[in-house]
Formats: sequence, structure tokens, C-alpha cells
Amino acid sequence: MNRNDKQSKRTHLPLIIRTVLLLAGILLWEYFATNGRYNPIFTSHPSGIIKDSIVFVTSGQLYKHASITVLEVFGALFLGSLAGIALATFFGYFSFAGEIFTPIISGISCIPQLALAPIYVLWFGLGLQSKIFLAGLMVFFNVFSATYGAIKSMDKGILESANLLGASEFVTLRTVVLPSCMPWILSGLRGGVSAALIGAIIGEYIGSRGGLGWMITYSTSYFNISRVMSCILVLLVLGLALNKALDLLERRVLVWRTVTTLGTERLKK
Amino acid sequence: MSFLEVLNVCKSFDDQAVLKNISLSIEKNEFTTLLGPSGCGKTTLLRSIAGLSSLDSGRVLLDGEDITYKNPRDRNIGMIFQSYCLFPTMTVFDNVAYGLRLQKIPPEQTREEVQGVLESMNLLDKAKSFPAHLSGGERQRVALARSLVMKPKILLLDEPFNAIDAKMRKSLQLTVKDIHKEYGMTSILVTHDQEEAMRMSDTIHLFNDGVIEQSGTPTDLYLDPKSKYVASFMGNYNVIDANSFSRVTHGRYQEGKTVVLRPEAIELEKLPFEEGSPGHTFVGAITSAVPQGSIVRFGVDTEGVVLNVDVLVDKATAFRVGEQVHLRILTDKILSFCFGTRFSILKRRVHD
Ligand SMILES: Nc1ncnc2c1ncn2[C@@H]1O[C@H](COP(=O)(O)OP(=O)(O)OP(=O)(O)O)[C@@H](O)[C@H]1O
Ligand SMILES: [Mg+2]
Repeated sequence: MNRNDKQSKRTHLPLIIRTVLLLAGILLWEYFATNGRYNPIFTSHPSGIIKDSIVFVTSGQLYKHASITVLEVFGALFLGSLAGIALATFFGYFSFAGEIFTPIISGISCIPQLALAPIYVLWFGLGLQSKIFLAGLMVFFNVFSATYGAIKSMDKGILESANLLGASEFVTLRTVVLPSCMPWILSGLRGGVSAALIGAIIGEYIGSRGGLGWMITYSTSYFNISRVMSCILVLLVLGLALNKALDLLERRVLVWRTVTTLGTERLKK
Repeated sequence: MSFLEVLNVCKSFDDQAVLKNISLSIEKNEFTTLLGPSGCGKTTLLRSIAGLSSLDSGRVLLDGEDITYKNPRDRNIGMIFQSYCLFPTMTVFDNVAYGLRLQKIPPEQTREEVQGVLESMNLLDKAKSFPAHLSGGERQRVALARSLVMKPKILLLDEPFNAIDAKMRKSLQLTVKDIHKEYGMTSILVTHDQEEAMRMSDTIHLFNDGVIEQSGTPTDLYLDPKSKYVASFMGNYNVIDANSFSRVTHGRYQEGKTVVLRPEAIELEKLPFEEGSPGHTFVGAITSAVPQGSIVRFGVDTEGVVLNVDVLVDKATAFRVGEQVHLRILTDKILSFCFGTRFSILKRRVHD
């Protein structure tokens, strides 16, 4: 009981300080912009953003564009991680093929994918496919390298134990290998989430007919900075939500893990 | 035919021969130990029996069936690895239930059997824990439970007590032995600990660099070693070369062979032995005394040769370091080997 009280106090304090600091920053921004201390045309200001956001939502524009971007991000995450896990597993079993191809894959992953984005738009057109391909590829590299590393460092004795207890290779993969690689797969996925957001938005900058990225370039060209900020607000919420979802997933999936904290335990009196 | 037959098994890793034409047979319900120093191929043989590493040549027969090329999952052999190798993502219960679930045993029956084996391992209160939260001894018992619940034809144990403190080790050794009896199992233990092998085994196969040097009961190997190597591995034998022993006995020993003496086969007295008593008698000075449980091991220097002599504790209190003592070696306690014959079958008792 006692210890819990202390712990909750300690976790609440930073939260309070953080909220106060953020609110103060927003208020200062509003104050300086509305009192003509500088020209808000380049940065907009909080009340302007709120006003625009309401228009954005009620006009149905938000739904139209956000759904495009969300679809691209989820499509990329799903396809990219599926391909990453599948290929890493394949190379795990056929290590000869792995030896041949993994250097090529890591070579390709060194090319900044954003540099290739215009080509992908040429290949796949202005629709969803080009964005999903670009973002998916970025997710793939993240998840593949994390999963492949995890599989390579699996303890062989654990696989052999499963084998001796009657498990076929496929059953071992499903019940032993993938669950114990989960920590790495999830951290690959975490990198994948930000990669997917970047890929989708940049893809839309380069060539598209809709989406939050398209809305941002479009609004910027009309100096509608409030709208740009509204879009960024939506992206922020999307990114936070995805990360939160990963947190929850991690907590569910990784109950078996002991979490190491650096530094030794403090002795309490 | 025996329950398990290993026939002429050879195995090399990149030109290094690790198993050199090994043959051994094991009876049902026998507790067998593969004993030998580090790197002599014990684990390799165990893995070959389990089917985890392939053989260059030779065959393995289990229960009358040739299993040389059978997939490990169809062999029904249990194995405890040196590092336990529990499934980290599963609870203790799920670890133990793993094999039964794969066999599509009904859940109700699985639960009963798992709980039964957990109870006999004293692990019921840990059923919901994950391996990362267990102590070494607990992990080891989970590994045992996971194999035992499958009722394997043979249980293979690869140095399972290594990472465990001395006291816990003794109690786990007893647990394993009890379970071996209770379940009517056939077990093969790998170890490099001579005392552990003596304590647990019905039969010991002593390894030396990829060959079996000697097989037999613990008493056989201890009292009747077939070579100097076995003698030096199986106890704290005194190994004395022919010249030195001749000097110690004032020239009465003339065999010209290396002499091997168990430390408890040398008698120690404060007073001289009677004239004309049997065996070799001589004097020496005590240089060291190391208590080892129920015995004290004295180092006694005679003619520049230091002999290890074991004396029961209650008798040992009479002796002090630095004292002059009288020693006697009965001739039928002397084992001697031709010099350099590691594979000598020419062991003979010496009578002068
Ligand atoms: N997979 C492998 N590849 C190459 N060499 C190996 C391999 N496994 C074992 N060896 C070699 O075979 C020899 C015997 O190994 P093994 O593991 O059977 O020894 P051991 O008797 O079990 O030793 P310990 O008591 O230290 O466990 C060693 O010299 C080792 O280097
Ligand atoms: Mg070994």
C-alpha cells in the first residue's frame, strides 16, 4: 500500500509539470501572436487553429483526407511487417539463401527510400499504391532486420527441446520462435510506425490526389497555415495513438519478460 | 538384446574425430553415467542418441528398433540440456504441458498429468511463473518435469547439476534418482564429476578422448581400474613411478611398473608395525592434513615421495603435521601398470 502511494505520487508529479509547461507555451504563443508582437501569417496561432479545425471537421474534409493517409499507413504497416517477418523466417530456415540475400537487402535499405519516391509514383501512379509501396518498404526494412537478428540469435537448445517434445518445424516456429522473437519484432514495428508515417506523408507531397500530406502542400501554397497546423495536429494524434497501441500490445505480449533497468537497485531504508 | 544399443558410432567435426568407434549397451531401468573430462565427446554422444546430431557411421537401436535416421520428435527420448532451455514465453505449466498438447491429449487429462508431475517436483506454487523468474534449481526441476511428463523411453541428462550450489545439488541428485526409480525409467547422465557418477550410477562408462576407457559398476571402476587413466580419474589415487616406489620400499619392489595406490589402502600408525608383518612397511613424515568430511587426507613424505593417505576422522586426531609416522602397504592393495599403457589390459596384482 505504502509503496504504491509513493509510486503514484512520483509518477503524477512529472505529468503535472509537463502539462503546465505545455499550456504556458501555448498561452504565450497565443498572446504574442494576437497582440501583434509578430506577424502570425507564418505560424498561425492557437485560436486560429481551433477555428480552422472546426471547419476542417464539419466540412467533411478531415474525414476524406485523414482516411486516405490512415489507409496508407495501415496498409504499409500490415504488408511491410508481414513481408519482413516472412522473409526473415524464410532466411532463418534456409540460411544459405540468407547468406546470399541479406547483404543485398541491407545494401538497398541504405539508399534513402525518399529519394526513390518520385520513381515509385511513376511506377504506381498517384493513387494509394505508390504510397503504400514506399511506406511499406520502409516498414519492411525495419521489421526484417529486427526479426532476422532475433531469429539468428535464438538459443538452439530451445528449438531442439521443442523438437524432442514432438514439435514439427512449423509448430516450433508458431509456438516457440515467433513468440520469443516478439520483443525484437515489436521494436522493429515501433521504428516501422514512424517510417510508415513519414513514407505516407512524403509520398503524398510528391504526387497524390488527396491525404493529409496533399492537404499540407495545398494549404501552404495558399498561405493557410492554420490548416497546415490542423493537419499536423491530426498527424500527431495518429502517431501517438499508434505508439500507445504498441505499448498496450507490448504489455500484453511480453508478460514473460523481465525488464532490465540500467543501474543497480536503490536500497531503501 | 539390450534396451539401447549404440554400435560402432563415429563422428568428427572438421577433421577432429570426437567419437571414435563407440559401442555401448544399456539395459532397461538402468541408471548409466557417461563420465569423462571436458571436451571428450560426452555431449556429442548424448546428442547422437537423441538424434540432434547426425552420425558419420554406426547405428543406434532403441527397444529393438533402428532409430539411427529417425526424426528426434518421433523417438520419444527426453533430454535435459546443460542450460535447461525452457521456453521463455510460456509459464511453468505451459512449458510442462507443451508436449502433451502437441499429442492432442484432452485438456482435462493434460491438466491432471501436468499437475501430478509438478506436485512430485514440488513446483505447484510456481505453475503460473515464467522461467525468467525462477531460481536455477527450480528451472532445472521444470526442465525435468517437462521431459518426465512425456514418459520418455530414455531420459538423457547433460550435466544438469552444474550450475547449482553443492547442497542443492545433492538434493537434486536424490530427486532425480528417486524419480528414476519411481517412474521405472532408463536414464543416461553425463558428468565430469567423479563423485556424482559414483553416487548415482548403476553403470559408469568412463570416456577418454572419444573412446570408452572402461565400463562397469562404480565399485568395479574404483577398486579395479584397468588403466592408469581410470585410476587417476576415479579417486585420488597415488600414482608412483617404478623407480620411486622401489626407493620407498628399499628395493623390495622390483616389478618395474608404475604403481597405483588408493589413499585409504595405506595404513598409518604412530608405533612401528611388528617385525615380519606382511606387506611393505616404512617410515615417513606428515607434511599436510586436509579434513574432508568423515576422513582426513594426510600428505606423508617418504624418500622424497609424497603419498596421500586417508584416515578416518576419529583415528586421525592422533596425528600432527611434522610428526614421524609408520606406514604399511599390503601387497594385494597394490595395482601396477606397464609404463605408458593407457590401454593396458595387462593389469596384474603384484605378489612378492
Ligand atoms: N558443433 C560443433 N562443431 C565443431 N566442433 C564441435 C561441435 N560440437 C562439439 N565439438 C567439439 O567436439 C569436442 C567434444 O565436444 P563435447 O561437447 O561432446 O564435449 P563434452 O565431453 O560434452 O565436454 P563438456 O564436459 O565440456 O561439456 C570438443 O572438442 C568440441 O570442440
Ligand atoms: Mg558437454
